[in-house]
Amino acid sequence: MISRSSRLFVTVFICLLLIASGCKSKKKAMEAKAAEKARMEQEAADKRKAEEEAARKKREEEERQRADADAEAKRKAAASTPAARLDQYFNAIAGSGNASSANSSITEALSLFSTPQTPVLIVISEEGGMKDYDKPTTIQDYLNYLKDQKKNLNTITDLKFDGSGKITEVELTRKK
Amino acid sequence: MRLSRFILPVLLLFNFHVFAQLGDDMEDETKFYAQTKQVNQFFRRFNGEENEKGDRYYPDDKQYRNNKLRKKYIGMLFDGSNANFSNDLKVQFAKDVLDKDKPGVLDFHAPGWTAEVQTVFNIAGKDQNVTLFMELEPDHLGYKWVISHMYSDIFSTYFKRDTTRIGQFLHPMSHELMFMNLRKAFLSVDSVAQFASKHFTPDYLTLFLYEVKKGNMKFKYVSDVKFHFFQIDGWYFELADFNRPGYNTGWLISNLAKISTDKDKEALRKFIYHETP
Amino acid sequence: MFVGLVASTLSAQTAQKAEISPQRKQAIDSLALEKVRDLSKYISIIGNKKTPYSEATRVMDRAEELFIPGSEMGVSSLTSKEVNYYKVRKYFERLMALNYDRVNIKWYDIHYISDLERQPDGRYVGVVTIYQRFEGESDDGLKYKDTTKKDITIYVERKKTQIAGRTIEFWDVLLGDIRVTETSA
Repeated sequence: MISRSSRLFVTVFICLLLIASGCKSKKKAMEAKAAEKARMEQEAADKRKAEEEAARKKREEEERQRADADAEAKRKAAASTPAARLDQYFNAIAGSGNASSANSSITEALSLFSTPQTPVLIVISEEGGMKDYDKPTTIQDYLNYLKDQKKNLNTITDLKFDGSGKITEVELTRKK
Repeated sequence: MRLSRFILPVLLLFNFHVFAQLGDDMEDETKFYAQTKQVNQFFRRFNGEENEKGDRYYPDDKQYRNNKLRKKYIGMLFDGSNANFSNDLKVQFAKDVLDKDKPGVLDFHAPGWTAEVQTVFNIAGKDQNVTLFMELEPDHLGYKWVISHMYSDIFSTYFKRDTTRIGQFLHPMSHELMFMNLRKAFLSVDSVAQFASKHFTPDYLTLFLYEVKKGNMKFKYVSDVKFHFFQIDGWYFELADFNRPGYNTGWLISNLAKISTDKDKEALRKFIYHETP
Repeated sequence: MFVGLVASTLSAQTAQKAEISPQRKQAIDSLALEKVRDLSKYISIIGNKKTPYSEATRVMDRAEELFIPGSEMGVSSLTSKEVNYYKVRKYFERLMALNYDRVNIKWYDIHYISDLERQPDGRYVGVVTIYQRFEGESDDGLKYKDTTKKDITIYVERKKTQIAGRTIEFWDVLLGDIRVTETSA
């Protein structure tokens, strides 16, 4: 005779088991859910990370391109500065294969100046802030000198301009 | 001393070969580096004040007047073809010059060196040799060369006289007759020098300047230059220019003598200036 | 007379103590050497038979500007002690008129620059030595070659000028007499 208590006990036991299993499965389910959640969170984090990385790379690439473009623009701007243009003329005249092409370069170069008598100062050395100069000459004489001597020994270190953008004074320094 | 003994030290000193490209001609510039090209360079090399490329050493430089450097140079500053001075003499000279306590150094601005300049002048339509002796002299802000003495055979003949024998003279009572015998003395121009004091020595430079000023002497050209040095204590040397093939060229010591006393020095000086009777 | 003696002694003492520093000397040497190289280039152009007459004349003018007025060339050869003297312009004209069909003038790299010495007027003077190789050839087979040593006087003076209202001090380097000696080295 299974007693009512036993039945009760079993019922309770079964209930407990059920509860337990229910808890267990619930726990499992919770764990699974948590794992799933964690996995999803991880995935989301990874995705975010990847996106951030991509965004960073894209930003860097854009910055690099911007910097390149800036540099290019600066270079182009520098190449078209009066000093650069003048230096190009100097090299063209000194390196010219014949007198007539040198002469036409001279005529073109002179158009950058307020007058063919524009003074040219040549620094031969500098010590303690004091500059030593060669005898000053004029741009016309200097350009003809380049044509005759076929050598450009100096770099342009300073140019002065008038209001209309014409060069009024040139300072050159002997290349070392 | 044989020329060949100089080649090795010269080549060792100038141990680089510099080739100048002249069209298709490759030529060795080493001989030009070896050449003592200027008197200035002789001074610098003798004193050890420049390197083998000719770049100057200054007092702050480590190599300035370095004895080892000077020793290398002195060997190549003699005319190697000259058999007149012995190797012993050269060694003695180098020893004195390189003395650690009292090195012998040449000073461009100091007295004790003279230029002997051989020139040709046209005198009365004929080319004549005239020797000018010149020295460096301070003047205002700098220095200049000046003529200190002059000699020419054409002038010396005018002053030749024999002081040993009794020739023509103005007797000791000439004063009582108001020196009327001067008229006869001056009749014969050849012997007029006899009536000058025994202490008289002609100053050729005065004569030279006078003749040039009068237009009687016309300069043609300088034919030769050499230098006499008395600056090294106890020594005399002569410097001449040697223009010849090879490495022993340029301004070189062409003569060397030891002068022990001031009397010797004075005798040599007089000999050089043609002042000895 | 005593005052005169003291004055002249003082002037001799103050004479040449105004020296140029080694660094400045180096810069001046470079400048002087450039002038000498400029002259060498001009001489090559003047002597070149392909240079048109008008161009050679223009270059002679430029070359003359390198010199102080009155400068001369003293030329001697190995065969004779005699020295012939020419004004620089005359020397250039003779060079241009040389009767060769082809002329080649080249310069050795070597150069020697003396110390700068002060003259009584305060100007500095020095000598630059260079070596030149000359080759001349005619169509009829005539050939001539020589190597000459050139001792070139250089005058260096500190001068001032006004540029755009300010004072600029510069080194004026001019060439002077040149002794040309044929060398057998």
